[in-house]
Amino acid sequence: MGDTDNNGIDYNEAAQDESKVFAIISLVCGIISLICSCCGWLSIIAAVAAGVLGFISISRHEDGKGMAIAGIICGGIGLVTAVSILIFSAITGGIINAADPDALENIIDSIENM
Amino acid sequence: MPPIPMHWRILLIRSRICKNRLGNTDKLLYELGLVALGISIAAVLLYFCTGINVLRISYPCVFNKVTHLCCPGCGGTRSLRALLRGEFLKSLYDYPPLMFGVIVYIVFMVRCTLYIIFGVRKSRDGAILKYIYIFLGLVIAQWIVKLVAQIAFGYYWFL
Repeated sequence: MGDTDNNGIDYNEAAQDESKVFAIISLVCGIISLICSCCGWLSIIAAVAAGVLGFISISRHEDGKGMAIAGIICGGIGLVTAVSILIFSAITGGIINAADPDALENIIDSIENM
Repeated sequence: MPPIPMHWRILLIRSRICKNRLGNTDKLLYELGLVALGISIAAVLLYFCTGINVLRISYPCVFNKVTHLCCPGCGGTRSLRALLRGEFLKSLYDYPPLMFGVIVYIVFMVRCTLYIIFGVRKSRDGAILKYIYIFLGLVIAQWIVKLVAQIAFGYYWFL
């Protein structure tokens, strides 16, 4: 049954398990991107990873398709939130420096004074 | 008889301790859980050795500061701090999915470890996935509830 070699290894089953790995990691990265959407770069990296791995999983095999789609959607939401924060901070006069709370307060004050 | 190489000895000890093998899905999630546990232990050691509290290092949520709206992760750090102090109700109030996630994580890791070492029966491979979906649903649901409470009723969650 299936493509097996002399040792009885089913290569179709091995390929299914491998694409499910991508789907699971895509889901985990999507959740991280969603929860850390205020962290900017971390969310963008996790969202890109979720999207890439999700699309690889979908293109290779049907198993784990739901997980891959969930990972892509969550990564998308996190990416939109993180990118909107970065664009907003760039428009208001410079990238927010997370290590400099004074810069953050100055930008917020400038927004409130608009 | 020639001496046994070190990596063979490690494999031999591991094969005697780890009598059973997890399915592929559970194996991957178990390894991710071990990585998370390693990071937590490193953070605890960092605190006790140097006094640096990683939960205090985080900067304020920019999304919250600029828009005055909650992001999907808002309240997570507060909730974790409350959980570590033993204030379970406050932890549940600040970020409900965290308690659920911690309980699921502990149960999953304990059951898998018991299965690997002692062969204690556990659920089928991949059964944990439905709890991950529930966690995701809780994250989105609590985000929507907080947004509705803030926009429609003017109730700010973190007063």
